[in-house]
This record gives sequence, structure tokens and C-alpha cells, in this order.
Amino acid sequence: MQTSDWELVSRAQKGDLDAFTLIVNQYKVRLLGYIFRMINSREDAEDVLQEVFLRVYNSLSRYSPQYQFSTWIYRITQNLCIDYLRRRKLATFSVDEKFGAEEDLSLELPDESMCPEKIFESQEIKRQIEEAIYGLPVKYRAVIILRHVQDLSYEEISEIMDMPVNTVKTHIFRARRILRRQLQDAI
Amino acid sequence: MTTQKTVTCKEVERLLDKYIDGEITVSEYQMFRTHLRECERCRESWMALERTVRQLKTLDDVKPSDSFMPKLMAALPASSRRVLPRKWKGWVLKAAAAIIIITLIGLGSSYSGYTAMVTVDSKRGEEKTVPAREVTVLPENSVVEGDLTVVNGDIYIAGKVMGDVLAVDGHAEQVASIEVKEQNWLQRFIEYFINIGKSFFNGLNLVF
Repeated sequence: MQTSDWELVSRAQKGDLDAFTLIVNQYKVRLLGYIFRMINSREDAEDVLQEVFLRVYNSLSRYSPQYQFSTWIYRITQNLCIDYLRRRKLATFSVDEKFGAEEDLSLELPDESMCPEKIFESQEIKRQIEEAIYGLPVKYRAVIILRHVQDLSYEEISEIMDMPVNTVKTHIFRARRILRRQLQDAI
Repeated sequence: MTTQKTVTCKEVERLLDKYIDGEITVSEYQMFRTHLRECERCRESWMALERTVRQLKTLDDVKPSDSFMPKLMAALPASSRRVLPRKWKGWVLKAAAAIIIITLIGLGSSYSGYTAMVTVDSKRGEEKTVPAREVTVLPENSVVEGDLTVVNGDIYIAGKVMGDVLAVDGHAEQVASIEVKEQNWLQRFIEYFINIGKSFFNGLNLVF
């Protein structure tokens, strides 16, 4: 994504730790946002993020520019999120049990002035959006975050998720409908 | 050319996505707009979808905590820690004499930090002086309970570190002892020290 990615990566491949650090700094916020929204645990999200960068570090020598670097790092991130969710599910914690989002979506439309209530409401709306995202099935959740929170193209998402563009689109269209229904009273 | 086609509500629903993605064609857009003008239900449905997508873009960044980078760096494989750079191999001692001349500077921290002008003597009598600004010293009587990370500099450790030691772009070395020389001897290096003084943080992790 950044023009300097390739240069940084080749430096990091030669063992330049500064270059690796720069890569981490370039991606950590984006990836943490993705991971956090996928797994809904702030603390575990940092652990997963660390795992992502360790894996990147250890696999740098095997990275070839067949994919964009950003695609490659998102693929690793996506795989580790799925691993995490699988492990957590095995630990008998149901990923889906947390939200009955439909019941508590009853906000009034905010008015236009920037009063404290408005600020509070905008925080409240964000919270509800986060919940609604997390309430999506994993396959929809992943693509909608990549598309509309992270602003990636269908093509890149298709490569990250290893699925045809049309499937990505179908999932995103479906996810939009679910979110619209969940949030129609809130926003 | 009055072949202005009309579209059904179902078709409009499909066009909504194309519209949002900017993939709608001109003729589709005309049909879409005409329909929306007349069909309140579809209009509301469109506005709600637009709002939903727009809101997704407003979500806040999620920033890693301050401890993320030091933890990550400490978790990197040991081979990347560069314990002894090649140029030093062969003449840097194990238990041999390491005379480290240090000065204590006021760091305003609960932890006593040292920076050092280092002179290393090998058995063969070679001597190397390391510029003070690159060096950090952990004196004999100090204990670091967590990990110790130094970025962009070397560290000499005579004290004890319970966790991992990581020197990023530098090297870490355990030494037998550290000799503290009078402060005035080193005052001419004070400008170096002022720079590195900032590096001590929380007594444990050195700031990047």
C-alpha cells in the first residue's frame, strides 16, 4: 500500500531491524483495528497482533512480491484471527452469545448541534456499530471491516480472503443489509 | 428515444450496492434516481444503507498500548538480538577485564541510570573506547524485574535482569564489574549524556 513497503521489506529481509520496526509502525494501528473488531477483546487483540508481527518477522525470507506486502500481512492477520476464534470456541466460549444487539438499538436521531449529549450519542452510536459488526457471522464480519473500516478494494479483499471477487461482494452486500437492519434505529 | 426503462424495487435494491461502490452506470443511475423519486420505501432504504456505510468509516482507530513495542521486540527470536557484533568477536572478553568508566547523571527517575564512556581491555592488551552516547550501563547492584530493551545503543550489564535483554541496533553484554570513575573526569562528555539521559524511561524500558 505504501510506496516504501517494498524497500522496507527488502531491508528487513536482510536483517535490518530498523526497517522491520518501521513496518510494524506502519501497520500496527490498522491491523489492531481489524483484529480487535474480529475478536472483540482488546487485550487478546494485542497478543494476536504480536503473533502477526512475529510471524511476519520469521517468514520475511519467504515473502515474495507475488502479493502486495499489505495483502500478505493481512492474510497472516486474517489467518491468526480465525485460529484465535477457533481456539476460543474450543474453550467453550461461544463467540456469538454476547450480543442480542436487536434489543438495545433504540436511540433517537441525534440533532445537529455539538452539545454534550450529541458527543455522548456519537460515542453510543459507535459502540452500537461495533457491537453490530461483532454480531455478524465471521465471514461477513471480516469482509465488511476490510471494505468499509479499512477501505480496501474488492480485489485486495479477494486476495486476502482467498475467495473470488463475486463472493466477496455477495458477502459484503449481505453484511450491509444486516447492519442496516441492526442499526436503522440508531443512526 | 423515450426508452426510459423502469426498475422494480428489487432491482433498485441491487443497484444500491453498485451506487455505494461507485460502479453504477449512467443509465442505471437514471433509472435508479427516477425510482427513488417516486418510491419512498426505496428512498428510505437507500438512505439507511448509505448512512450505515458512512458510519462504518467513522469508527475510531485502535492504538496499541505503550508496552506493545517493547514486548514485541523482546519476543523476537534471539538471533536478532545481536549479542556480539562481528567486529567485536575475538577480542571482547568473557570474564576478562572490562573497565567501564561511568558517571551517574541525574535522571529524575526512581531508577538509577548510568551512561558510560567505556574502555574495554582484552587479554591481548587491545583497547577500545566506545563513544559515551552509544552506551548504557546497568550497574552491579541494580535489578531489573522485567525485560530490558535498549534501542539504538549498546548496553553493559553488571546487574541483574530477570526478563529478557534486547538491544536493537546495538549489543548487550554481560560484564563482571563496572568501575565508577569520578564525575569530573567525565564532565567533558556531558553533552553526550544529556542526549542519552532521555533514554531512561520508567527505570526499565528505554524509549525508542
